[in-house]
Amino acid sequence: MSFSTAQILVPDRPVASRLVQHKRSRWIGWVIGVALFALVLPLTVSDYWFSAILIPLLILSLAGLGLNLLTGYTGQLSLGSAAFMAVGVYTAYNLDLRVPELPLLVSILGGGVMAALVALVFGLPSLRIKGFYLLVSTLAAQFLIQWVLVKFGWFSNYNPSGVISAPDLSVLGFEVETPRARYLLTLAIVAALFWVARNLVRGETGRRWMAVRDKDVAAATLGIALLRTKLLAFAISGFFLGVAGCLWGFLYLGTVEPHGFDLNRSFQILFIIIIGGLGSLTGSILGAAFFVFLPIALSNLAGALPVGTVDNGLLENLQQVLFGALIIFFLIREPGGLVRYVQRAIQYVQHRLGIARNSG
Amino acid sequence: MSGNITTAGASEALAAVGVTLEFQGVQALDDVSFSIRDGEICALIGPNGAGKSSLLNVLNGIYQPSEGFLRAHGRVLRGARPQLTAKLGIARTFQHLGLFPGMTVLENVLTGRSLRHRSHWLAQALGLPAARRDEVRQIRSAEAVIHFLGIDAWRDVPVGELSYGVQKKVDLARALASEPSILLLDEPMAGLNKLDKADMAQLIRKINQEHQVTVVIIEHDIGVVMGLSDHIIVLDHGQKIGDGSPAQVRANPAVIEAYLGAGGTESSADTHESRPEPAVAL
Amino acid sequence: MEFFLEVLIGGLLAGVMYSLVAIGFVLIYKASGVFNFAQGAMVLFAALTYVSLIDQGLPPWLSLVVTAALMVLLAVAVEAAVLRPLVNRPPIVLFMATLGLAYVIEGAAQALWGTQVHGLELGISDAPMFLGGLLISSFDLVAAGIAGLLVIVLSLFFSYTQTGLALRAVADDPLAAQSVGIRIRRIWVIVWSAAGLVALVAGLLWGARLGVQFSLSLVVLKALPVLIIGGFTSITGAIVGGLLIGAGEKLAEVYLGQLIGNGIENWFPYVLALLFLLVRPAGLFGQRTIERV
Repeated sequence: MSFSTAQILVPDRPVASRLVQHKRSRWIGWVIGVALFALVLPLTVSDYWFSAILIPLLILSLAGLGLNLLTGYTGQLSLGSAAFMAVGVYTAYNLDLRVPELPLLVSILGGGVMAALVALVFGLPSLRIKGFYLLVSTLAAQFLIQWVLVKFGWFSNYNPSGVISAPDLSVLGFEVETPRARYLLTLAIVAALFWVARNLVRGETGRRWMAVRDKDVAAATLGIALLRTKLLAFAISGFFLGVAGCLWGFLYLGTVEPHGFDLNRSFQILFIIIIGGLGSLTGSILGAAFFVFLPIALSNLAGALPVGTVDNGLLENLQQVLFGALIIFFLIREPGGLVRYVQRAIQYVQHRLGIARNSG
Repeated sequence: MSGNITTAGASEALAAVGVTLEFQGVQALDDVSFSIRDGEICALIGPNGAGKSSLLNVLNGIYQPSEGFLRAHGRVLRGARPQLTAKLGIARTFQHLGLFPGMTVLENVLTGRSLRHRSHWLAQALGLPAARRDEVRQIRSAEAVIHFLGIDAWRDVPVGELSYGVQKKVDLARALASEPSILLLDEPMAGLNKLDKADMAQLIRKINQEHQVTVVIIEHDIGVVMGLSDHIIVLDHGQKIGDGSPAQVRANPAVIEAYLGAGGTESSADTHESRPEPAVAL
Repeated sequence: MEFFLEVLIGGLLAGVMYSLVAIGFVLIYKASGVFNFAQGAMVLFAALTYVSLIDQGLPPWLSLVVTAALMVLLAVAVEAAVLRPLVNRPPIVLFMATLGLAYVIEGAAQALWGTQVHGLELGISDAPMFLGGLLISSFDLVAAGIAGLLVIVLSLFFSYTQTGLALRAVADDPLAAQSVGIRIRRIWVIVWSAAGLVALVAGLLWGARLGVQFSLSLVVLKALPVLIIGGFTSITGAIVGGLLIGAGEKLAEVYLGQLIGNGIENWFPYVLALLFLLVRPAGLFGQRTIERV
């Protein structure tokens, strides 16, 4: 059964490999983005925004990015994302607990590395197994890892329900306590990793990933080592997901229980990149934004109706229905995801501005 | 016909010795042996289904022969995978393209530079100067090939948006980017109009002469084949039925009967019809 | 020894239930090449609808008929809203669409009928029986019997009826089938309805066993190892795969569980399927395709 994510990225309409082609426009976009996230927001928004919206948005973007590197760019379908996040946070927790001299950032790094190694192991079957069948390897990872983390109390320091709490956070001597501080730390880490991903994706590594995704026989003919390329994708994806898991547990929730990283979470991350855009860095962010804002929008909508029309349980189910319906809608209308819509909008604006400039 | 091929001649580039290929009971190739000299253009011709593409796939390691072996630059190859043949300097184009649709022309051609890349992924990830310099080097090389083939205008265009003729050139550019010593071309002119065909033929000649690349080309247009090649190998039903210079092959009765037909100037359109009557005079 | 046989037979019978769900997958995959991730949601939807209708006071036979009719309606809706717009798309797009569909069906089922657990009474006793000196659940036996009957009916249907023949033609080559006048869309509705009815049977049996609750849709995931071992296109394979997974799971839970603790059945089928794939990348009964370059 041929099953490559490449097939989604080549619908009837062509795909531009850059969000915005014009160099100067890209610079402007970057400056605006950085100014917004690093300066404007931290100074203007409320604590609620930090804790409940921006931080999860950033972390889910990172998780989506991790999965996108593996599934969107390299074409390896995975349903184990949440498990790799769990490996990351439980590793970091144990490092922090048992080696107290280690700075927080190093523990997080360790969490990422461990997740990378575990993901690598579950990527090994890709040597023999292709496409859809590979799904079973990451599913095995998802269930096996969850079971291990609960079964062996050592991981959660013998907490009876397998729950761990975030350690006190301090970076380079600064206490990270307030929502704003946590937001800035999250932003710094996520931005750094996005930069790393950008370097990888733009260069030889990214090209090899996409080659393996698009036509692996042709890639082999060019001398590209298929297994090594896929394993690198699994490992780096695992690293990103591991760090995302650490951030999720330490900087967002404050506590972690194994069920927070269940199959449902893996599906959510997959949905984020399907809706946001497979094989796109920006798409990961857009998908995460969609995922974070949709429930809020729905709650507000329900709040506008007379009290009692819609109760919370019903709201959740309606959310689920809407989510599923939107996925189907996107797949029918724009399989390239939200990022394609944004691309077209930008091209439209550029087109109009271009015309205005020429005639002026 | 060539003499003993079980040992390499002095200037042999590529050889097949007793190659047999089977697919679930269907025999695609049957005891095929030949030797290709360094620097020559060798055409592989034969009716549809003769096994030409299969043979090319064996030559670059995509298929493993059930019997027999290959020799590349004197080195015996048994069970070699495409990655190994690539390292030995063999590059190829594909009949149904095989370009990477998610990337631009430049990026596709850059994949051809894969084996030449020196930088480590970690260096790339951290944006280290050495990695950046290596990338710039590879881009310059790729741009040189793009310029050679005259497709600079489409450098940053996603290949899915290109016309068929340009895509064919990108496929060729990607193969050339690896600086091969042996170039395998699988119907590089299929679907091209007369003008583009002539253009492509000229390019192939240029590649062969100016860059000393041995070329093995599968082609249906006999006119092109006769004009371009130094050496022709004819396959029919998986067996070699002709092997020699264009003049020799032309006069070979087995080849005439199986393939060439009246006039000896069969164009690609005719191969879809049933086999023509044997020629009365050539 | 007796204990081992009891566990084995218990596992085999549980495996029959997995096969039931897997058969639904196979039906759809055979006819349209789609891996229907929403099969599990359909099982849940069918069970929930039936149980809720009973709770509302409808007699069992009427609830059954209404639920069956709803499943057919669902098939029609899915064909119109999902399959038709995506008709020429590659398999992965359709797979992801069924992911979305699963969310829609699940959410709708729970929005309509609520999220509490419902008990399901089918009138089949769960009394243990002694068969040849071994302790066996009579419910499991009846379930196995029903599944067997279903398989026979489906096999007869595929081999001897006009529609069955058309289904096999569509599975083989949709374009050729269309060119001889077979209406693909009608076939799809029929197939999805059949899968819906299979889901109904599975839902009732599983629901009677576990109670009707959300986790029923997780059953779909267990069907994946079944299909990997049995192949995606063979009903026989679904049976064999189901039996293997069911037996393997139970045996592992009991024997391995003594060594490393319980909960093994959560991951064992996937690891088993993974190991299996490493040995036979195309599954036991699956079709091997040769890549053409």
